Amino acid sequence: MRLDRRDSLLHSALGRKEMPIILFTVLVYAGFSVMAPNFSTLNNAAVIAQQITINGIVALGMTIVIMIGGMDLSVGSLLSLCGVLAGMMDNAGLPVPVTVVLTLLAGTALGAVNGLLIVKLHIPDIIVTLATMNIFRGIAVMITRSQWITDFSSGFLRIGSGKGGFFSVPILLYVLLAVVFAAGLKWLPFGRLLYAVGGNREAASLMGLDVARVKVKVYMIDGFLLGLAGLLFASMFGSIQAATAATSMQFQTMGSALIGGANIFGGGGSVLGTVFGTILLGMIKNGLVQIHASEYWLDFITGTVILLALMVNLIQIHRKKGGV
Amino acid sequence: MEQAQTAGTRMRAALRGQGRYVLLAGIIAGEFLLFGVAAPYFLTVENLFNILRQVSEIGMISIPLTFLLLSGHMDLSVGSIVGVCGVSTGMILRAGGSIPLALLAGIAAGTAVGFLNGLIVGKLKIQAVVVTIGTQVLFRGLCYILTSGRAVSGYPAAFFTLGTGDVLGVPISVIVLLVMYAAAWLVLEKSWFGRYVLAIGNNQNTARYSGIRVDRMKIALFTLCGALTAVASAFLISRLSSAEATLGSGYELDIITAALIGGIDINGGSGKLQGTFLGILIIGILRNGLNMMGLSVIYQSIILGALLLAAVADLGGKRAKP
Repeated sequence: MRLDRRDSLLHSALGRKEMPIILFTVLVYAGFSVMAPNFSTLNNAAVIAQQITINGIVALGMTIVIMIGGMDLSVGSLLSLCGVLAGMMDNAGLPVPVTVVLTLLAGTALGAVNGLLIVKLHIPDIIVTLATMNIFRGIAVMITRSQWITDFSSGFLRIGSGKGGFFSVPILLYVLLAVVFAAGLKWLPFGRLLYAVGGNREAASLMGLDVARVKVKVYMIDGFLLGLAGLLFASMFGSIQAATAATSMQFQTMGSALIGGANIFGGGGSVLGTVFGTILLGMIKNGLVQIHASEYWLDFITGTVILLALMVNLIQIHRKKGGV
Repeated sequence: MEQAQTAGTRMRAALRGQGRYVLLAGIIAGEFLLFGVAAPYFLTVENLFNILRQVSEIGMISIPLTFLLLSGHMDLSVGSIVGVCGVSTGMILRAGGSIPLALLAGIAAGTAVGFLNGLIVGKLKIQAVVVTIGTQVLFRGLCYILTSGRAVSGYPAAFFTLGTGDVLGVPISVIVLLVMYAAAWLVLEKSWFGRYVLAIGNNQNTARYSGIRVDRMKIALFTLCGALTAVASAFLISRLSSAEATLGSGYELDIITAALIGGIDINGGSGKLQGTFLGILIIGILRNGLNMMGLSVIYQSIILGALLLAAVADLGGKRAKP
């Protein structure tokens, strides 16, 4: 009974939580539209959508990782490793469906490695993923011998360039995944579990939940998404280089999740918020080019946005505490 | 009889405490053996001095980072702070500013960004790891904005003394490093500051209730980290004779790995500065030896990543569940 009341409270809080980011995104959109005439065209909207799909998919995984109080710094490296694996399998002449399945399996397995290292060796998430960030990237460079992987089969390229009606396949995949995640978090028992684990690990543990198991599963889902993102990366760009692919992705996706209301103390977070966080960062990246600002501002702005998101997060936590 | 027993226990405890350092010294000896055989130029006087110079820069940063780790915090932005300070110093030198002015500017920049880290962590009470991930990107962005992605070089000849000069055969940077380590050891082992750091690392709340101004200590530690990182950065750009926007990136991996290999507890509260020092030597020799063997930086990072995991792995499950 009491649990129910807390639940509905939580949900209404989450509902309010997403409003600032949505409003802010609209404001930034309006700002860029005034500054750059081509920004608000439908064509450019399609370009932005295409540009954010990979980050968006990865950010979904980052959201559930942060939700359970974790952090994944290895996303870019894991993506790169999966991307080059996919490319090399395609180069080796494997049928596309086999390549897809094996890449997704590889991503899931690598995610499991992260999760198992964390729970079995009792190492903090941040340290494990700092280490695997370097290890996965190194392995990716090693197996490709620092060469670009390219010359993909037409079937492989079609994954990234294919159309389903007006939208491209990657965009449709992203939308589908976002919906699945949003629904899963809300209605699936495992999704509800994530809020419980993140909200209060000890309580969850006392309730008999196997927190370690949940954690490994979350990192496996994260890895699965990274496998898919690596596949899309190689297919959409038509080539991939292990050393340079997605090197700052951990910052952007963490930024998206945090702007979207994911709480670094665990527990919070919403798919809708993260999606808007991704759109916002993608819009800023695109808008900077449109207003002919230097691309060198991007890191600075990403960092600022992460810090601002942390502070807004904090204010919301305080207000919530004050309200109860 | 009883006395002998306690003496024995005490000795065993002391040995257990020293065991790690014996192991670390053994690893260093093993490295010398391995690289001495595998890389013909490794055991030359010139190269050994090279190692010392390379080690001294990360060594300087390892001091405040050890303090931070001991207090239960972490600074993932040190690599970017190296960049910001190096670029600031370099730009002033290139513009014809005097060397003292350039050095001061670098240290001021480091102190300022360190203070910013400390302010956010200390006053807003957000986890240091997450804050410094954010500022890592922010500070790196600053480097790119300042340099527009181009290397900053063209320093006066006198400036190179810093990174390449020596006193009676000992590199200046090594002397500075040793002086810093000695001072830091005194502060950590013999002063209230060191006691406070360990107290905060053991239990923040207890520390607060015993009257320690925890937030001020945090600000002080992060500010110190920025300032000492700036000093290291000056030696670095003097040795490399240029500052790029990517200067110092990835340093956090080396330094954190070194400290954790050296026995600093990842959760804070226990560990010794001498452990970090040995850790820094291990990493420095490893990088240099692997370079000599022609192993590229990206492969080295596989080894470093594995080392990091090995250093903190807790198979027995003594530590609280993550």
